[in-house]
Amino acid sequence: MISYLIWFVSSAVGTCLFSFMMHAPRRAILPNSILAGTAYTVFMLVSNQLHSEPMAYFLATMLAAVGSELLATLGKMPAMIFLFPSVIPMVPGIGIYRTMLYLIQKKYEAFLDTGTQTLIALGAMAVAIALTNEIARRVHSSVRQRTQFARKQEGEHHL
Amino acid sequence: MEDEQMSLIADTAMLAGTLILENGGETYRAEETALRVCEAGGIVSPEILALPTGILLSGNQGMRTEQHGLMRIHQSAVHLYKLERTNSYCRAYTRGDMTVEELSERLLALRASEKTIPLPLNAVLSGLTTAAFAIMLNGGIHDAWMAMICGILLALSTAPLAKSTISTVTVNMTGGAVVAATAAVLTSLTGKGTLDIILVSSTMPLLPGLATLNAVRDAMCGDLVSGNARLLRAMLSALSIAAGVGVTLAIYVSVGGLL
Repeated sequence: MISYLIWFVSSAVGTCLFSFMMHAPRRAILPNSILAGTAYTVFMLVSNQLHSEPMAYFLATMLAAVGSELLATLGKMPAMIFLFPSVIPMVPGIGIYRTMLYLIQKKYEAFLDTGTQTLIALGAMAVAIALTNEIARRVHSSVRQRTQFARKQEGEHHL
Repeated sequence: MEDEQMSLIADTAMLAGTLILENGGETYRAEETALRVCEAGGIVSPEILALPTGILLSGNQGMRTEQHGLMRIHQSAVHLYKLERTNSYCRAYTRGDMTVEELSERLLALRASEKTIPLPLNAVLSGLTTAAFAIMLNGGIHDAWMAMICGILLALSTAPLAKSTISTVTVNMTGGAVVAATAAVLTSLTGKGTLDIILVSSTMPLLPGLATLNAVRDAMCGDLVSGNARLLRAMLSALSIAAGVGVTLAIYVSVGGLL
């Protein structure tokens, strides 16, 4: 339990500081940090409980993406402003780095192993983001159509 | 007059796409934004192709004049503020709250603005970030303070280099080497801390995790050229960091250090 708290706090703090380095708009930093912390905690929870890393990547990224879309609608900012920082703790930059390090150190078996795992993780994350984005776009366009329709009806009513 | 207006709209649309790509946005978003600006400006059947290294635009005005354009892009780091501003300016234009002259002026000013973090603050931020990531990666308190020193030195060594015209490969190699040397010296002097955790957490500000994720995203959206190119760039920067770390660790081992 304590370790989950530590993971949450450290990833939230790390993301908060990293957001400054990415020049995030001020009002996006706090929600980002909380979202990132939650997503990373879910990631650790799923990977510890289900013992499936790709599943953990998928579910945690899904959570971050849905949260980003909601925050984007509320804050009237593009979703990537929230999405980019909130996946920072779990994005497998370390995996990519290790893959390359093993290549240089001629540990070819470890290179292939880490490389494949990293690729699968990235694929899981990308699918989660793409899926959420697709759904969000559908919802947005249907809402827009409905409001336009309502406005039109209102206009006719006034005439 | 009409022609001038149209070419201004085309230029502004490309500028908007360029700003998004330069500051780390997705390819489909750059194309979409440029397309919306074109459509709002009255360019008939606009076609836009955004690549990581440039953006191309063509379209017709009425039945005759063709608008063609090309802009070269040099990508820098992710800059969320500029992405957000570009998006909201373009939205204001498509809603009709802003003229194309205004939009062009604002985007040009945004592109020219250099809002960089002062070096001491950047170093402190980098140090604290790496310390937090060290804790996150199950490191102890010793790993955290050592990662903090590595992070500070990383920012101090790479930030001035990144501003100059030196290639990112060199910057990343230097960063990797500085981090590895610091971590190796600190762990061997104090006899505490885990070298692996310190190395991984303090190279995190340089690592192209987000860039790789965006590359995969681009490829999934059907922007295959962008996806490939971005993947190559990310691999190259990871390789150069690893090279910096690897060479330094090899020297460290050869003078008697323990991994």
